[in-house]
Amino acid sequence: MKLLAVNAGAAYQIEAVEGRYRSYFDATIPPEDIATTRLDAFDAMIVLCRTPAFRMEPHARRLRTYLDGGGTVIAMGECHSERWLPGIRFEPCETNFWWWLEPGADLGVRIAQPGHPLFSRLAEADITWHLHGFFTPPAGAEALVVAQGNRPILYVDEVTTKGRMVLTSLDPFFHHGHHFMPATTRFLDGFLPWVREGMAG
Amino acid sequence: MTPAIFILSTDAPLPHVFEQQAADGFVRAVRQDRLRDDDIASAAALITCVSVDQDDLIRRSAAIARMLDAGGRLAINGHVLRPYVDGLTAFVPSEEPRRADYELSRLAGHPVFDDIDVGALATNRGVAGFYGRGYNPPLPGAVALNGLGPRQLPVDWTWTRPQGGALFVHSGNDLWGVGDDPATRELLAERLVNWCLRRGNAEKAA
Repeated sequence: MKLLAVNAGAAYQIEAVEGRYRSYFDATIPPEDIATTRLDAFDAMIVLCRTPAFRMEPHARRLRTYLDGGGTVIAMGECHSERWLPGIRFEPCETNFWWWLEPGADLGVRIAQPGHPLFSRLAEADITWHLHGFFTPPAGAEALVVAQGNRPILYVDEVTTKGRMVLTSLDPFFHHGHHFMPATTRFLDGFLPWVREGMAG
Repeated sequence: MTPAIFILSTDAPLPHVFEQQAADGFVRAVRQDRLRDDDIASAAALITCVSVDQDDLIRRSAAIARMLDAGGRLAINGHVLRPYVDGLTAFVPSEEPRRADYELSRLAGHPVFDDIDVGALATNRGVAGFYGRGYNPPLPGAVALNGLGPRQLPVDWTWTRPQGGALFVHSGNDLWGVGDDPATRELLAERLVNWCLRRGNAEKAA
């Protein structure tokens, strides 16, 4: 599985692709280079957390062509993928950064498919830090992580295009790259090997 | 007066704490992809946030140097990972930090922090770590303003550049978002702009 990372150059993104996880990425490009990169040379591309949508929107058509050619696009949290990928319905929510201060509090994040191979690598504690919003996936898409009443925050869509989209509102690269929040590092320790090995479902 | 340019590096608008400064003509927000080298070179000052595209800034380092040569100022927030000003080196994260490693202490006076209890900036709702989790190494001749933890790591510093211009460096989350007091956040934003433009009590201090 050849993996391309889209890196918008923020400190937390640079840290993510050049630090602990550098061996997972075969190439790294800024969003602007999507226009000139042979995307079909890669099995999948991952757009890191908080990549500005205004830098992705000009490439929406090219991404659609890549998807319809069988490519995979993984869009991480806080990058407004609904503005540059097809078929995404997303409702942002106000983030409660402080939920864990209350003893016994539960953010309500749940594994939706416990038998899914991703969760041989990730436990509930590794997918729980903040909520930034919820998706309404199309019929036939597979929700892997839900929160607060079965509302998807990570899902796989193989129905909207001929390729595959992995969408999440989780933002692990941001926190890991800021040296903040160990759960996000644990998430990436499980998520990236799953991606690299072909995203078995 | 030529305004300071606040570089917008995400989809979010100018932080509201700068709205009055923008309305008064002291700050102009420009999306990073629309910022021309000439805008940088002719700016009175630049303010960056934690999400600034440093790969873009390194390509524009000559324009940044021209701005500084002309006496301009650069206010940096966040972790430096690219040397977009000659001499900058990569952020040094704290190793396995504990609570005491996040305590803040004042090391030198500065108009941005005067009369502000920096100890109160160290936490948000009692949680420490937002202010800084390491430091951008100061350049030779820099003045450390606030120290992090018992070793007083230089989380904030200023530097007067020998060839002209000055840097204000805060090595953590955006300075206008630290602490719990909205009035203090606004004051920090206002003072940062004053420092950039050498206004008021920041007229002379680098």
